[in-house]
Amino acid sequence: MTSLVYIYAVLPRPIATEIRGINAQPVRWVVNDGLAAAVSDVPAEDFDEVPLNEKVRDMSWLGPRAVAHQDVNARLHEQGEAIVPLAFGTVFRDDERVKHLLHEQRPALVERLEAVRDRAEWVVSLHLLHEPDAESVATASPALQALRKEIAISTPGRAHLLQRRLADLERDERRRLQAEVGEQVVARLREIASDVYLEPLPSDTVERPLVRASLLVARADEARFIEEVERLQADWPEPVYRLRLSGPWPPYRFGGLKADHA
Amino acid sequence: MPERFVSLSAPTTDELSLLELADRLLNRGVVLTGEATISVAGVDLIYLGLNVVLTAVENLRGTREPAPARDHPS
Repeated sequence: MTSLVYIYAVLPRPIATEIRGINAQPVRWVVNDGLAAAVSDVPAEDFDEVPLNEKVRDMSWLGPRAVAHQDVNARLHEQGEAIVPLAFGTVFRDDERVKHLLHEQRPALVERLEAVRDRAEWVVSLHLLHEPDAESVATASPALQALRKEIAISTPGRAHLLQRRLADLERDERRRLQAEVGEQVVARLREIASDVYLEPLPSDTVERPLVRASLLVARADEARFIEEVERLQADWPEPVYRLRLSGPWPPYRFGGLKADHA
Repeated sequence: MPERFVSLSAPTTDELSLLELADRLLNRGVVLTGEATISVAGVDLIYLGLNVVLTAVENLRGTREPAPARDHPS
């Protein structure tokens, strides 16, 4: 059976550790040019390009392999001072080609390793669980308050017309205030994070978050970061809002390289 | 209280963590949905061989359009 070389991450140097990766194969090191790639052997029948792109759609196939990928990178991340974790499914024909990658991409890899050194990645999303009631929207909106006052002192005919405007304004103000909450959450976390990436929001989901961000945070700042997330949840409490936090992740979003291929 | 992601156990026991994991590992190939189903889009982002695409914010920042979600499993 032909095997291919699956690469999990690039580090400045090998770490002496016994880890098993996908299909419980031992993780070994390919070293070149002062960089080390953590790899293991995988069967070509699953990981060659065509079968891989088929199988990756099947969560029952992907699940255990994705967990193995993450487990390897989590171990390396905890033990190594800098790690560039690669996306699932980065596969080479043989060790020589991995060495070639380390050589070819060395400047970019070294730069990335420095950028993520002693840092981890976190994902924060803000969800709107329930629309806030009309009174709390009005409290936060001077424009709504002004229109309500105007209605109160208007003739019945004019008040009727203004009522319709009020409904439109309230809807617009809800959207505006929601966007503001998302911006404020990100702005406060940005003060602690070394880098922030706003994730594109899926358009067709049932529970679309107001905002979802990946954040690169120094390990030394983690306690402060988590405290700030808790403060944010306290400032925008349930049952209206919910903040979800996940991490610490190896820096998957922030650790990669520019795509330089054709 | 926010949920803190601590460790991954068996994928079937924690589907949301698995989705989140796939979201990290497959990058923009995966989106999370409220139904806890998965959408794999742009799986051609997974390459083989030397033309490797390494997950990177820079790549994403260069991409204006979020990947469209498709292939909802029924």
